[in-house]
Amino acid sequence: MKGALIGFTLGLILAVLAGSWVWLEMRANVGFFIPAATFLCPAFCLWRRKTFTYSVFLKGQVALLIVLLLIYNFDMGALCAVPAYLFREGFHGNGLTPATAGLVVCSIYLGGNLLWIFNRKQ
Amino acid sequence: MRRNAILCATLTMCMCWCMFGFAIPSADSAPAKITLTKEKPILVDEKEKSVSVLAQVNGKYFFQTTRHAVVYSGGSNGDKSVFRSYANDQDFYNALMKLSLKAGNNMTKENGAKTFVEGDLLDVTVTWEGAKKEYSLDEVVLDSNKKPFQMRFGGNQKNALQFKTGCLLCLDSCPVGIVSNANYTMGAVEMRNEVIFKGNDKILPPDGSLVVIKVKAKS
Repeated sequence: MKGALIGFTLGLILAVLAGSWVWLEMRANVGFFIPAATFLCPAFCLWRRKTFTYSVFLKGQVALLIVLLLIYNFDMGALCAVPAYLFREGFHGNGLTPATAGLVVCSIYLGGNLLWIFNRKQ
Repeated sequence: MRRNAILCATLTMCMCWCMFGFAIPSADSAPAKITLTKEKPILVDEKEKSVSVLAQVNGKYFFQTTRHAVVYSGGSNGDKSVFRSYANDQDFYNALMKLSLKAGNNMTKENGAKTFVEGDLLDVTVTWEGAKKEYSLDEVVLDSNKKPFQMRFGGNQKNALQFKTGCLLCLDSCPVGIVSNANYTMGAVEMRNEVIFKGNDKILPPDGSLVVIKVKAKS
């Protein structure tokens, strides 16, 4: 689960970076980085018996926010919308409205942060 | 102290994600009162000499740059344009030919980088249920160089059939798109970064909204 959250964050960062390369964005589904990293990261963790600490997840989220702010010139609209559109594209969810996709992304992070803290306390 | 810092950081993160989740507007769920339908998405008005196409706004391109204005949703580039058309490129081409418009057919993949599209000059407008007026393409798609669009009937029926991209309207001169912008040669957007095109979210309705795109010969 923790590996999946780290992978999801990494995938989102890679998707945002890839999406800023117009040539690639016009030819490929850059959102695919998200499901790919979400599934590959836990697999990697199992294979190498690696665990991640909460600070890694927190730093990943901060990195994601910084990447979004820098690439989209501090456009708050883009900050809200781009992760939603990339998530929708990556998971082939064209039936999802961007608002729903955005809520899913937020729920993942909200739940992920709370779950991690709750697990630490236990 | 460290535990408090982590808790604060977590709460801040949670608040940020909460804020972001509710910030994206959605299209109204009520169906738009547009006469075109998904089953019959294209209309040729021989009296007005215009072709109208039903399309859907792709809000992703309010924030990302693209070289496609209108692409058929079933084409390989269907998700790469400001507007996703329900009408396909072949029907669009045939509709323009029905109006006796002249296609340029001068573009190829080999000459694309150095050639401007030719063909009859066209006026493109966009409107939707509740819109204040019919907006010109210049108003709803932003050119970073602020050049008024020069949309021409490129033709390219053979290439369109071969490559199956679904492109109806391209924002630079294109050997596959049925209609292209003659201001720029192929590669201006993605290869040479000469220009940035984005949908204008200050005017266009939200992602998923239905719009009608009208194309007619420029008078």
